[in-house]
Amino acid sequence: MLIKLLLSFLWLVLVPAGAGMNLSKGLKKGNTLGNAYLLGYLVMFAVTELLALPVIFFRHLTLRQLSCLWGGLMCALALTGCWRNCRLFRHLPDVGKNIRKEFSVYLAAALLLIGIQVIVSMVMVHYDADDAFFLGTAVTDVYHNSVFQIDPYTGDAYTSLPVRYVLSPFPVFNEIISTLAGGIHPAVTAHMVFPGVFLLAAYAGTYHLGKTMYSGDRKASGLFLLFVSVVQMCSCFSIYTSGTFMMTRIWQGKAVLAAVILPAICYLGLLLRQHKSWTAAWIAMLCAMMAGCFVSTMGVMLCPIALGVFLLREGIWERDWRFVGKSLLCCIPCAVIAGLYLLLSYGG
Amino acid sequence: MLELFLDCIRVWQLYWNGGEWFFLLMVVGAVLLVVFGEKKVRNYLLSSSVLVLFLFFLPLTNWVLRKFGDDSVYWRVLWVFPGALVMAAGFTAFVRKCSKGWRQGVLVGLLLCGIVAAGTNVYCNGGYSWCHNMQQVPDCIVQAAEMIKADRGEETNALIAGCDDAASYLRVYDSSLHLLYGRGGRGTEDIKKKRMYHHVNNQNPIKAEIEAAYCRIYDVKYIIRRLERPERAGEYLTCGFRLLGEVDGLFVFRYE
Repeated sequence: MLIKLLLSFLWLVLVPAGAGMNLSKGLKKGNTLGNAYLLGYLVMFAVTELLALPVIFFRHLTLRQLSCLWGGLMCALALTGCWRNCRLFRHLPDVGKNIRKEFSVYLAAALLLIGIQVIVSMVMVHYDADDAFFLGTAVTDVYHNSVFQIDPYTGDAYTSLPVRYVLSPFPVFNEIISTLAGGIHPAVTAHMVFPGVFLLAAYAGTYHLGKTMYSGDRKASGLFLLFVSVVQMCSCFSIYTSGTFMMTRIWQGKAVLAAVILPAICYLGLLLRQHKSWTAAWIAMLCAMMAGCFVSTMGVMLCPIALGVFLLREGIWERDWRFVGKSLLCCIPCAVIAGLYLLLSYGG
Repeated sequence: MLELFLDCIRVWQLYWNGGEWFFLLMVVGAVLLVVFGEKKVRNYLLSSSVLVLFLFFLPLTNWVLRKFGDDSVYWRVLWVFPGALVMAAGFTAFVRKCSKGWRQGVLVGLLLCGIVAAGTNVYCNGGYSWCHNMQQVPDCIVQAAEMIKADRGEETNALIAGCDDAASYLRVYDSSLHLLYGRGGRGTEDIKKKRMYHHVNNQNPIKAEIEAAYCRIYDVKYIIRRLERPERAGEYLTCGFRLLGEVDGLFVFRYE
């Protein structure tokens, strides 16, 4: 079990951080490990969407083959990221000093609270019947070494693909990680591993949003993170809020959309308003849009709405058509997925 | 048009149901952000919030999302609403401008208490519980699944018909189990199978002989269901079932 957990750590912490460094390098002062970790997840989800869709429709690869392909590609991206940031590693001995520089009482309190949230979500359990499909798909596919070919409800072969879910195949991510982590049960991955890593990604986004808003004022960004972590924890008054989804079922794609992807779009939107020419930030935004499509069908519509609200309006307001054009380009993945959805739903 | 707008209001009320104080605190956060916030932060968060609310209440958005998406999830548009960020940014601005030193710590403590009091804490409201298996599925499902696996032996294709509690998690725990239908009767278009689903989930009346007939038709070997009155298990025994066991009110029968 220890080896499986170490492999999970490799695929869910080190690899995304390495892959994210490719983008975080272009964010100048934002080239931090936390930023790389968040952006790495956006890249991983985008890559998984690109690889999984052809496999689902053309059925030419088994799950293990897909996992190997994905693993190889992600390792290449992670190594490239590390190589491009090799200068950063020379400063590793200064990490302690940097942490002390960033440290504030409020940040410490926020980290403590986030730590508690992570541990509780990993150790304790929240039952959700939606697992029957999302988690059922992952468990079934790992058992049959296939991708979206068996109905998770019954165990029989699909007579027709579930159009509503097939274009946002988030369970495939669980399947790949479970396979690459030495055959860990997908339910264990979802309930015990994902909550930890996804909550950290969500709060990494919030912290960097705070840092961008307060121009690096560590005390203010720590305070902002503390307030957000308490607000999310206490917004479980109805079953519909993003806080409820984040706290209780973050292993499901729609919760990742609410807790990680949409706040990341908000963060990248602010970053791009301040630094319109940062190519890395535009690529990160494109990855965020693809990641949104990957995690949930609703992401196909909500991500463009979020992009319009946080970014596009700035371009229209300032009549910066180049900016508007780039923003619209980021929406292309969502438009393609929406087109495919309409084709599959109404085109027969 | 009016109907769509009224639907938006209904969805809004559904989303905030029970969170009125929390929403009020969010408004307070927004006001504090207007008064004390930096121009950059204020403009970004507040204009985004207003735009999201405008889009949410716009009947056209409602129509488009319902037409091309899922009818029942329009409330997810509110996930784009950065309410939590507005509240946090407003409080941060207030604390930064209005206090220093130990007074700042006290003010932060008070604001945090305010959020906790106004909101609903996930830990104190049954959000989490304990379980004793690594997969973190209900323990009774694990025991029921193990009972069936021990009984079926080499018969790995044996079909199971379960109530919703069982159908939701059996295959999450072990994918080698085969079900006649899934959670909510999904996974099949066959009307008779859906009827069987309703029978297995029904408490009143319980018709063991009809369930036995369906078991014969579809070659179902196991039934897992809840019985509010345990003595009614006897009715199943007279219809050709054998009781494998009972876990937390969940009865596992084998059809012989």
